[in-house]
Order: sequence, then structure tokens, then C-alpha cells
Amino acid sequence: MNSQTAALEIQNPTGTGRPRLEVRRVTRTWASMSPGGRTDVVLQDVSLSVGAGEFVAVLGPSGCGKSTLLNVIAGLQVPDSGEVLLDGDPHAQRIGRVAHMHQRDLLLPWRTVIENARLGLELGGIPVAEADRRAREVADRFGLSKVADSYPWKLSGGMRQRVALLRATLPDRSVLLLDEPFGALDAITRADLQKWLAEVLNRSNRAVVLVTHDIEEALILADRVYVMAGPSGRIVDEVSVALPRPRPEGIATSELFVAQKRRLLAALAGQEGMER
Amino acid sequence: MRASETFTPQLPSNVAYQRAKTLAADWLPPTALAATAIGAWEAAVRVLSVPAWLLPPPSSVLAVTWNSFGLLMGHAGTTLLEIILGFTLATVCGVSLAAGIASSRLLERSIYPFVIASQTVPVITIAPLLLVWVGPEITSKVIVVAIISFFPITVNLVDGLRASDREMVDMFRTLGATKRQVFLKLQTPSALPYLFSGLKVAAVVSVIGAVIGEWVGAQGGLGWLMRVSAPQLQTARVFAAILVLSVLAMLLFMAVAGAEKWALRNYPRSNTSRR
Ligand SMILES: Nc1ncnc2c1ncn2[C@@H]1O[C@H](COP(=O)(O)OP(=O)(O)O)[C@@H](O)[C@H]1O
Ligand SMILES: [Mg+2]
Repeated sequence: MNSQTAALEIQNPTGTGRPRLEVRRVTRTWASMSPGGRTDVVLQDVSLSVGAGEFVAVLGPSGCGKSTLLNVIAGLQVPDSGEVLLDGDPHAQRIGRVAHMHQRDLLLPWRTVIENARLGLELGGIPVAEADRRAREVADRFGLSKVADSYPWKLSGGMRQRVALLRATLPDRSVLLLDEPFGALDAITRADLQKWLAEVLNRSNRAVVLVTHDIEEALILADRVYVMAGPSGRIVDEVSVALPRPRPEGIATSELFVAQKRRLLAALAGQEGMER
Repeated sequence: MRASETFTPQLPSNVAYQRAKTLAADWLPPTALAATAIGAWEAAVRVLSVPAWLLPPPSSVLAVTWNSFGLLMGHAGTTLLEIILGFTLATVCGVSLAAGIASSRLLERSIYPFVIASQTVPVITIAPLLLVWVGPEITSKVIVVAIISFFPITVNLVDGLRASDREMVDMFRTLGATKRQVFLKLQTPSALPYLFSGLKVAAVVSVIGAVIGEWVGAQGGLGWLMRVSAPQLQTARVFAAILVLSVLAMLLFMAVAGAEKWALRNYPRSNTSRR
């Protein structure tokens, strides 16, 4: 009995206990820029939850409100209504406690790779020498040890995204938000980095939220996918990804993968999913 | 082995050729222009036999420069001291003002209008007053230099401190940065190229400030020398003083440009000058 529940918990971390991150009925509007002066709804009644160690993707077209959702979760923007809970606490201070990686790498051009990577530790009050040592320790796993002392403007887009991820993940945070981290890269580099990201984040206990407009990216990386529809961002479907982990080579052409892809495509096209 | 022996000698000479080519591209046009202008001036003065007190030929300006070199250098030293003190004062005040204006709405609203207003009053009208207030010594000149050169420093630095990318600020905030940390680790380094633009302009106008200050009343300096030489119809000496002043201004500009190159050595090229 006991071993059974334990096994269940490993397979489905959200199954029991409080979710690490929970978004409850969040609505966010902007003052409209079009004449008439009403408001544009960007997020409407968005709810989702992510357990510790779980990787969730939010899939939706451009402009449906994905970045806004992450900014609300990170505490950069205040929702009009609804709440965001960290470990069940709706009043938890989120800014500075949630790791957030933007679509743009936002590397500081006057800092080397390592100096950029250690920024979060430095801002957290860790002495520079100590921050530097810790960044260098992990740089190898990120494939960055050879360029550790180069300036970011000399690196390729893929390398820059690695630095940005290293910077986001070095401080110890229980939630990691990824805003289309590979959206600006070419398809080959993107596929490489997806595989690499899955390895890097594997066995970490973080709750990860990835927003993307790329169906395959969502399926390759996530345990669960929320489908979001625009223009007033709503969650229209939720799909558990029934694929083995770690995802084997060539999974993207397997029958199971294609079936799930079809399901997500249908949801994106506006047809309600079967589970809802 | 033999292949490399025949190959390598061509490489350095090629590099040297490229370097000579860029050097020539840099120096040839201004040198050619100056030579043409000076040649035309010399020819015109001689052909039209313009009197020397009206417009001396370049050759006699050079001769005066050579003959009164000690005198010119003595006065150049006075002027340079005023410039360096005034420029330093302007940098300290300009940077503090900009930091205040960029980090406080209240300071921006209250002080910034006066910073701009200060430049609408011509220094030539302030300089005589300063002379009355603080006397004919070097102090009044230092203040004139500071008044004229703090402005480009402040305005450029305020722009630079404000230019930080909104998303960058958000990134800092999600990493837990305080306002102070954002100022020190994001706004300040991203404003550095702007600061140097301001300092370069300030270096040049500080020379003008010193000359105006000395012109109005002084005990020495190149501006004073010009002022007393003109009524004596020593026009060649006025030109010699101008020549020394331009060299001084150029050296100051190059010093600031050199400091800029060093300070921004790790910045991407588009942010700094060409090379
Ligand atoms: N600062 C803003 N002011 C007004 N509208 C905004 C602002 N930021 C985003 N929006 C609007 O919110 C909607 C969602 O934007 P965003 O969250 O960036 O979408 P996504 O990340 O899915 O592409 C867009 O229609 C956009 O025009
Ligand atoms: Mg976006």
C-alpha cells in the first residue's frame, strides 16, 4: 500500500499534496489602445497548477497572453483579479523568489559569460568570489566552460540562451518560468537545446512552466500541456503527455507522439478537447 | 617547412600594408585639407600684400610661435590648469546632478529646469560678475569652465541612465535586485558610453570657457595674451595663441577619447567608436 502510493507520487507529483505553484482564476486587462477607450482582456480566468518536479507547458499562439501570464506569476505584473499561490500561500512574495527566463537573453554586454551567469547570486548578496566559483562549477554541464570568459556579443544565439538559463537557474528557486526560451533560434539549434534542457532540468525538484507556440517543443519537454487560446487568453484544454521519460531518440515520429500532436492541434484550432 | 618559409614573409608585410592604409585613410584627408588652406592663405596674403597687423601669413605665425615658445607655454600652463580644475569640478558636479535627476522624480522636476536655464544665460555676461565676486585670480576662470562644461555631461548622463531597457530592469527584479543594485549594476554601466560622449563635448567647450574667462579679466593665460596682443597690433601672436589653444583642445579631446577606449574596452563595438 505504502510503496504503491510512493510509486504513484513519483509518476504524478501533483497527485498528492499541495501544488508548488497554483494560479487561480487570474484575469488581467490593459487599457485599450483602440478608440472607444474600453479595456483589452489579456488573461481571462486562467487557472493552472504545477507540482514540485513537474514540467508544465502552456501552448498558445502569439499574442494570446503567455508572457503576461508569466509576468503575473513572477510578480512583475499585478492581476486584476485572481491569485497566485506559492506552496499554498497566496501572500508569498514572488518577486525575487521565482526564476524567470525571458525570450530575449537579456545578457549584459559588458559582463563575461561567467559574470552574467553569477548575476543572480551577486544580487542575492553572495560574495563575488563565491558566486564566481559556483557559476564555474555548473558552467561545464551547460557546455559553457570554453567560453566562460568571453563576452556574450561574441557568442551564437544558442550559447547566449544557455548563459541566460544558467543565470536563471543558479539561484536556488523552487519555480522556474521559461518564456519561449528557444523561440528566436533556428530549428536545428532549437532541437539540440530542447534535448539538452530536458537533461539539465531532469532530476531537479523545481516546478517548471514553459510557455511556447511550438507544439513539438511542448510535447518533447512537458509532463502536462495547457492549451491557451487568444485573443483574450483563456485555457481551453489540458493534456497529460503520455510519453516515456527521458524521451527517447526519434520520439517525434512515433505514433503516440503524432496522436498527441493531433489532439493539441485540434485544441488550438478551437475544438474543445475530449477530456474537458 | 619549405612551404611555410615561402608563405610567412608575405603575411606581416600584408598586415603592415593594411595598417598603413588605414593610417593613411585617417590622416591624409585632414592633412591635405590643412595644407591646401594654409597654402592658399600664405599665397593670398603675399599676392594681395595684406598688412601683417590685419592678417599675418602662416609663415610668420609659425615664426612667432617658435620665437615666443617659452612665453606661449607659460600662458598655456595657466590656461591648462584652469581647464583641468574646471573640467574636474564640472565632472563631479555634472555626474552627481545626473545621478540625482535620474533617480528621483522630485529632483528631476525641481533641478532639471534650472540646469537647462543655466545654459540660456551667456557665460560672457556671467564672467565679469564672477570677476567682481571672486577676484581676478584663477578661481573665476575655473568656475566659468565648470559652468560651460557641466551641461553636456549632465544631459548626456541623464539620458544614459534613463535609457535602460525595461525588460532588463524586470530581469534584475526577478533576480531579487534592489533599486540601488539596479542603479549600480545596470543603469550605471549602460550609461557609460553616454557619459563619455558628454565628457568629449565638455573637454572641447572647457577650452572656450577658459578663454572667455581670461578675456574678461585675468593675470595670465592664452586668452589674456590674445586680449593684450590685439590692441598692440601683434596679430601674429594672437594667431600663435590660437594655434596653441587648438593643439591644447585636441590633446584634451584625445585624452578623454583614450580614457573612453579604455573604459569601454569590453563593450560591443557598436557602442564604442569605430575601432
Ligand atoms: N504594456 C502593454 N500595454 C498594452 N497591451 C499590452 C502590453 N503588453 C502586452 N499587451 C497586449 O497583451 C496581449 C498579450 O501579450 P503577450 O502576453 O506578450 O502575448 P504572448 O506572449 O502570448 O505573445 C497582446 O495582445 C499585447 O498587445
Ligand atoms: Mg511572449
